[in-house]
Amino acid sequence: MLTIDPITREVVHNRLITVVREMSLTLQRAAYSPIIHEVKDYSSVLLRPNADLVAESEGIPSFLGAMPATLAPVLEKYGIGAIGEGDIFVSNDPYSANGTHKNDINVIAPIFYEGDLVYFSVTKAHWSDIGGKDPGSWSPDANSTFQEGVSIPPIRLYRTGVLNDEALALILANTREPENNYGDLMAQIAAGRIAERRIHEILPRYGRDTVEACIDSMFEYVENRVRAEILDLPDGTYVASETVESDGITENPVHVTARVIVSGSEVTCDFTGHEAQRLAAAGNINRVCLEAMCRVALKCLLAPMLPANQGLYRPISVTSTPGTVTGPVHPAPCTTWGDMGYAVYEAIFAALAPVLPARVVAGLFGYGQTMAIVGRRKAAGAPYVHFMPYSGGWGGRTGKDGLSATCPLLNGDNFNIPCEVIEHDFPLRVERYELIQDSAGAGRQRGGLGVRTDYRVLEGPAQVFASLNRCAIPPRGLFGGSPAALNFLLLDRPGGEVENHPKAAGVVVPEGGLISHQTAGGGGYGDPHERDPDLVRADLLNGYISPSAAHALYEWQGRGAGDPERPESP
Amino acid sequence: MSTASAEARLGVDVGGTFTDVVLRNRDGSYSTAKVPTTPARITDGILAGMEQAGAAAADVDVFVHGTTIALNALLEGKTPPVSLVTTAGFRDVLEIMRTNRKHMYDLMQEKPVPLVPRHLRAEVSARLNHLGEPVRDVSEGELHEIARSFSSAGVVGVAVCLLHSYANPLHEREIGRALAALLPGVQISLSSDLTREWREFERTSTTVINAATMPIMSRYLADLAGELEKRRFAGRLLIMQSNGGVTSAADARERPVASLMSGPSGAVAGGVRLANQLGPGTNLVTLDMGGTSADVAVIDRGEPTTRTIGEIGGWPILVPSLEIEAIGAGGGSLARVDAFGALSVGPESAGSVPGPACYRRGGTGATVTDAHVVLARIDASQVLGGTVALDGDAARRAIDEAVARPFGMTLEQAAEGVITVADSNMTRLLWEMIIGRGRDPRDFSLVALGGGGGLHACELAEALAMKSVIVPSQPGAFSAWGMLAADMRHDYSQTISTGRDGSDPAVIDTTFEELERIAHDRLTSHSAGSEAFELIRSAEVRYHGQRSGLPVALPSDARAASAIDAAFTGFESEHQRLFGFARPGHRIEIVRLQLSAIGRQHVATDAGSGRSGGSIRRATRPVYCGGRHRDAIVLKRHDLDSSARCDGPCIVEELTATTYVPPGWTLRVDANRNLHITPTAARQEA
Repeated sequence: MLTIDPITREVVHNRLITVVREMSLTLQRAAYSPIIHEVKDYSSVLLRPNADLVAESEGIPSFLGAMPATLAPVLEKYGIGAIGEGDIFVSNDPYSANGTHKNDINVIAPIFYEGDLVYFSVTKAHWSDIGGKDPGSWSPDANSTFQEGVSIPPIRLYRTGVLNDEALALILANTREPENNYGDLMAQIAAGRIAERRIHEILPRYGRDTVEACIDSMFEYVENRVRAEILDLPDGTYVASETVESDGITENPVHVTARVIVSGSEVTCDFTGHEAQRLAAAGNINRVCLEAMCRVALKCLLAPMLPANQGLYRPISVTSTPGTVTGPVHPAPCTTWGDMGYAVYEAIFAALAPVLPARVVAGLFGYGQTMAIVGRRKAAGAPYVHFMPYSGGWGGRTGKDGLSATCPLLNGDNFNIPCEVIEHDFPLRVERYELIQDSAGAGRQRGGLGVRTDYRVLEGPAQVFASLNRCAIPPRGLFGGSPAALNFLLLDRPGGEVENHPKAAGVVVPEGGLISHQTAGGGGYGDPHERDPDLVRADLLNGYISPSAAHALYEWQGRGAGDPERPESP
Repeated sequence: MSTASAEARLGVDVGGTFTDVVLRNRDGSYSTAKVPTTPARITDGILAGMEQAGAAAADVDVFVHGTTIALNALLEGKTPPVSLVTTAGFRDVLEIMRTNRKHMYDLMQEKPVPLVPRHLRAEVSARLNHLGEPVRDVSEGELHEIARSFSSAGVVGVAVCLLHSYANPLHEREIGRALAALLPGVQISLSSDLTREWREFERTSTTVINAATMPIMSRYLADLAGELEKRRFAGRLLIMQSNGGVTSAADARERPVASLMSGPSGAVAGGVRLANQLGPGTNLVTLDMGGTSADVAVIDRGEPTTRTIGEIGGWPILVPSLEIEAIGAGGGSLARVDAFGALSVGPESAGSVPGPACYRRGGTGATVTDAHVVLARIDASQVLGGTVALDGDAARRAIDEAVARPFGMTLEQAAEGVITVADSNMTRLLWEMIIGRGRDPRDFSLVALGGGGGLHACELAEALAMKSVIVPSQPGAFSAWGMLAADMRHDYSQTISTGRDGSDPAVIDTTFEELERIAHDRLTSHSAGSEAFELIRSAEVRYHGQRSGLPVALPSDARAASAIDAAFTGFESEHQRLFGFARPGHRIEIVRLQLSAIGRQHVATDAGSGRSGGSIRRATRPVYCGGRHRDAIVLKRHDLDSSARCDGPCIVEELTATTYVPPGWTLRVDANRNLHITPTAARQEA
């Protein structure tokens, strides 16, 4: 094999990264579904024909490692020899196509060079609707895959450049937003064309053998670095459990146990032996998503800044048992797997905490904490829906308090909606948008604080739909740190009591009522008694903790905020 | 030559290391100086530079100044204590930020520490709704309490940012007046005086930064003005702003947040002036490569590209700003080989202290500059800044230890590798700003600036297939040269939030009339000068559902028949040009209006100096390129006039910069002594 010098490798690697970024930019700009450009709910990769990941653009973490898996079912069904120039494949099925969420549509296109199939470009993008029982195709309470939207096994949508418009018509006839979907599909195809054009520039410039050797060398480099990190961990089996409070239909909790087996320079995330798959979507996570979550967790712990390529995955394996909540089989519902997802990565963090104390964070505030406020405007009765990503506290870390008011780990570079924009767009007044005192877990390094968002309903009535998690089991503390507060959705309706409705399914709030969405903080890290007294004093002065909490959690004896004297012994 | 240009104009650009002074005399001739910056008292360095350039304060009509004093204080965390007044329930907006995070997998990342700690953020019960109508009035009693607490905390500035004050400044003004009376000597910044755009976090961040930098800028400009006055300066003192235009010193003292990027903007002002000099429709990309980073900006058909929001140290600044992107690639960028055999160059930098190994300042790390010395693209026998000779052996030792030995390469291979990797990193940024934003690199020339720009520009232009490389005359004083001719510019913008139909011509005209009134008030109160101001209207337009829009020009009367239609058509064709598609029939909306008041500075184009008639000295020295040593012609910049022409490999040396022309490129010189370097083959075709 051609040996490659590290300088050429660096240059070629930069060029390949540029290709996948340009794919994502093209996709983001041309896409119609707001979620694609707002939340960056997409990913672009280049694969070798054997599905090895050559380069990946940073999309949202949920897709890490889920992209290469989309190719195998295509090759299995069509055979690599039968794939020709101008073919484009699409798929989404979480079972037959190794898909993720059904809205996440894969577009897979071969790239030929001098008559050979050299790479595949793959994009995955979240279409705003893909059919199913609910608008937007987000149904945590789906009881089978058929309620979650149209299933697309791998199909050849274009054959030698010619569109199978009948197949496309069938797909679009089953969604609520066919026009947007068509626009998104065209954006994904445009991204694939960019990849093809750039590869056709790169291969002649550097030479095909050189580029291939650079890719091998990049894989090897990343693999060596990850293996070295794993080798530093003592061999053993590390176990921790997490609990998902609801499966979307029942309040019967789902227990998730991570057995992380470290052996030499390899690590296995063992999720075998879980309970039978649920007939409720929020209680299952399919194989592909399970693998993605394991990779997210291990990348965070072992290689946060390394590029994602096949070398990252080689030392990592994942096991689970078919027919269980961590390996559901058709026709189990499974595409609203976010709660199961955070349980998987938090269990891995907790399992490895004893051997990676400087890399882990204590418990996060959960996932999504989604809420929709739905109503009608008084004037003309125009309907409105207010929906936005919520943030909360992240766990404490070695030497650093947790982040306050930060979006969930699985979301990408995710922005809130400014309160001024909310008040402009909806008949709601935001009365508070603030950090919640005492919401963080205490610790030598405390967690970050959760956020309270209070909405006054100005033109009632409004209906509230919510799917909050971590409402009964708080984010965990680590190494003696305390757990954080819970998530709450408090509804204050005139003439009634204040009630907590974290799973509100259309609860009515009349005009003048208050909707108070309150997220959890992050768990504490280390023994609170070891916290630097100056930090406790600053937290008191700034109101991050109350005097009573300072006393109870940190045994604070000082006189509190504004006290200029250092206490004798805290 | 017009009378307007018969002014003596002085451009003064104060950078981290050097202060550049360029004087354009009344007869159109120039004199320049480069002196060390004097951090203890910046004014001293300026006065020294003026003296060296022969610029007598009494004879200067216009003094244009670019300064990074406020920016540096901000980045170094050396701003004075300030406090913040917010709407009740919103004191944490500054800390919640936008809840996003930049790094997907980094569990150790931090949010920036707010400039105002939570206990110095006070809430008031006054409240406006989204139309700007008062829901609750200002309570005087509350303000007494707040003033007492701020006073005992010893704050020197107060930022006031209330919800929806972009729609109505009433409450902020009441509070500002009351606090000014209660807190004598404390400077108050109101968000509504700085920006009329929605998004409470961005507005709060802008106001807080203004409050925190105001004392620094005030003190500094008072000092400078005082010294100039002592020297009988009777002209106008103008400050370079982040938007690429200049404003009065009085205005810059009140709104320092609008001139934070004063320094980097100078290079872009130079680019604009150069583009004008080269002819209408010139497309340029400026590459200003210093010790630790490289700044890149695009000048599209003669106009700098701007954005409606800037960012400094993670904090958004809601004022129109030039689009300048930086990458951690400079002469001091460190080359390292990790334990697994990967070479990285930057973003860690040796800076100017300890600096590259060859600087003899104690640095031992291998830097990009050391690599150039090893390759002989920089002459080791030359003297640094006219004082210290470079240490070629130290450069060779550093590259050998850090790169050549770990890789088993020759010294030269290793050095060339360091340059290649640094170029590869910069190419990614250039790619993003050119191709990534829908522009064709073949239409653009790369302008090489700073000490290092000329050493990398040809190879970067090659990688992106750009048209040519231009090295302006005096690349070291380019910013000062550019800013002395920059137009006065004030931008005023307003979010369109009153009413759902943002394309109602009556709403648009009323809003612009209000903006014009504000503009007129400010321009008169600061007696900005005698020039007539041109008022240019533009709008941010988007398809319904999009997050951000594109700037589109509007006529001065929106009620004119089909004015809006014309603007929308303009939007669609721009969308097509930038993104490759349009959506005919889709709803289009206006989200923001901008009024730019521009006072044109009529500085005549520099007369071409033509041929100097002097002889051109041509030495040669072997340089390493493309894997072997080749004899390169070495030219002195000040010898070169429009008769000069040279094929690469060739080196052009001048006091503060070196230009490397690789094999395959040809150098020629225009009448204004700018170097133009183009691919040789293309030149032969032409």
